[in-house]
Amino acid sequence: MNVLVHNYAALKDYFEAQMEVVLTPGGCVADLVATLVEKNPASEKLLQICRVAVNENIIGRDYRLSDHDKIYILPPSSGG
Amino acid sequence: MILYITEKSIDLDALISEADSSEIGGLVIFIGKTRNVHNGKGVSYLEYEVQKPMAEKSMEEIVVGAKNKWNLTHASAMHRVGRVNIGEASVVIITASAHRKEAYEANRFILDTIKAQTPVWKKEFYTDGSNTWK
Repeated sequence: MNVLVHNYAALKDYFEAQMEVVLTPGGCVADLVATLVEKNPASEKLLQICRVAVNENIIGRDYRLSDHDKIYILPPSSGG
Repeated sequence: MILYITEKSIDLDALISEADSSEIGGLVIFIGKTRNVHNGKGVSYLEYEVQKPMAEKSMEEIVVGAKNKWNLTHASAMHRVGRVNIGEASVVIITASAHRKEAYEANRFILDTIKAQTPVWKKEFYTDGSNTWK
């Protein structure tokens, strides 16, 4: 299945702002993160502390993804 | 709809005007500003990135939650995104209540929670030409 991943802030030092990722059907958020780490191992430390949202709702690493989900990977906030 | 995120300069007078009423005994204003140095390194300007729909939802929940918890007369928060120059306001929090204690506590809570939870990110651009995400 294909999912659309939106990367923000420091994650854009490692990946494009938007990218399509191919996952095995039934894959979860943890599988997506593992796939991204495989693509760019230097991103692992940051990815471990990011929050992940699907369709703009924060979800856990065991959340099962669906084809064409819009995924937002959010580094720790640094506003203010 | 209440505005929480803006790409323009924050209109402080308008925000204070919205908060003011004859019921309040204390009005607390926090203004987060862009300073010209960070850890001894000269800063030229900041750029803020946002996941806008999620940030607006997050700020709405934080502000409404604080207003209810501290029984405030008024609570508002506005965060600027895009380029913010030195000396300009990046975030403004206003709380008002019958007594100052609640307005002070709620104001700090709102700012701290926005900084921890709201999907806004700051990039610092330095005078030596380098930059980094914070």
